[in-house]
Amino acid sequence: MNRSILLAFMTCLLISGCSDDKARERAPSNTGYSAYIQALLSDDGKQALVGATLYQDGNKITLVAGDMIVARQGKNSVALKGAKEEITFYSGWLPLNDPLQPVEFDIEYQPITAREDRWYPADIAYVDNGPGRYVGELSWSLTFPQRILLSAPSSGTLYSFKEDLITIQWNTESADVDKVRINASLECLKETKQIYSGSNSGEVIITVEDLFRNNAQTAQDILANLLVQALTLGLASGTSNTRVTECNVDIYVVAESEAELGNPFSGGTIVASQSDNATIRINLTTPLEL
Amino acid sequence: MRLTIFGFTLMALTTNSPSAEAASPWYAAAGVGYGKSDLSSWSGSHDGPYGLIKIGYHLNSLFGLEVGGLMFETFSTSGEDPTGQYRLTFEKHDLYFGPTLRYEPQRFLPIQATLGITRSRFSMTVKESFWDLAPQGSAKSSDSVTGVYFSIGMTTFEKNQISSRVMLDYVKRPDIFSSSPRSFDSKERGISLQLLWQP
Repeated sequence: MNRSILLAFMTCLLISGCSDDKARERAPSNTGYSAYIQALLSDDGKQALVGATLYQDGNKITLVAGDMIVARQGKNSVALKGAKEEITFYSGWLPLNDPLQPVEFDIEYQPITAREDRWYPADIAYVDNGPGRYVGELSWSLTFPQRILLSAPSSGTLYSFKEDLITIQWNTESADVDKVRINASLECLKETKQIYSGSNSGEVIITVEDLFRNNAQTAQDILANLLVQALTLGLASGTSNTRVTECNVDIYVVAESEAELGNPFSGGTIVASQSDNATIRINLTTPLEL
Repeated sequence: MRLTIFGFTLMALTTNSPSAEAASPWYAAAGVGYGKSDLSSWSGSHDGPYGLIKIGYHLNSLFGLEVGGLMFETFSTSGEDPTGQYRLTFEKHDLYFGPTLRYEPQRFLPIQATLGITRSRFSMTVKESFWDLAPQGSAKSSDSVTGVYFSIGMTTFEKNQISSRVMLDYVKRPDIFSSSPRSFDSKERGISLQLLWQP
């Protein structure tokens, strides 16, 4: 899965909880610590995009002055960095030696790493306040579900009529899958839609027309804007065509396992995901008016 | 062979040394200029004044030696990222030493050029704040580097012991804070008006 698209998905999920799933939309606890943690495993299983938003007494926690969330698996680690669009959403790519091994998270004081993107030599001149109040206070871990495989449609499949049925089939042997999401990235519209969120049924059937019209998902504008920025390096804003004839569509099926956070958290969730994808081609004999 | 070449060179440099009855070979100058400061890793630039002083010695009518100092305006820039807000202030001072060349074409103003090795002092002060989520503060670091100074211009006025020059000045300070993976180069380009006194 394209790294930019992965990051866009995660940002949307953790910023706004963009989902029609009521369980996902639960608010953080008004007392104590809460967190929304998500990790998306890459197709080859060699790295994962991890993200986190933390809360205390219902308010987002902002880590400053060198405090960072560090994700670690064995000798591999990554310090998560705040997003420019939302500095309380922390994300990063973690190299993995074994996707079946758990990923551990801690809050550490890393003043130089926190400033490594600055243009000047911040490693030799910085305000050293020492570890902040959250360092060593919070920790958690997650484990990925077994691999999911998208068996249909095959990449390159062509659909020529808006009435054509797109059969999306997937296989997963994992008993840990709590939910499956299917997202479609429509290149011609610069939009991404969530076309399914539900049980691990193994098959979803949707028409080509529904693929383009289905806009029942929450926070779509946020996700679309993030995706367009990622794909166009911020040079273009998403614009909707009203007439679709040709389009490449990336179908992503994401298997999620969800777990509760333990002590010291009183709320929030951990979601670990695996995904697979295929690109289909839409070339309509009769243009679709949106 | 080497001694012979050195001997000829020394003769060439000192053959036209001023006699006891001519003007002193020594001179002193001071000037002010305006120019642009660049840092290689910074997308911005700073325009501002600078000052310079120098003492020189004419070896002959063509060549001389010069030592001087340049003082540039302090400038600041700001930024912000999820870690905090920061304001940087830079101070720069240079000392240089090197040869000069003076050329007096017929029916034209005299032209001078200087090429010198500089020893520069570059200081960076960082003030950071964190939206009241952590104590703000400041930190400072300095570095000394060896660079280059080049100046070229012409005499615009000469009378008795006083002359004025308009000079184009260039300073390069390479690899400042070389111990950091984010070291950078510093450059100055400017134009100055200098008054020279030759007793």
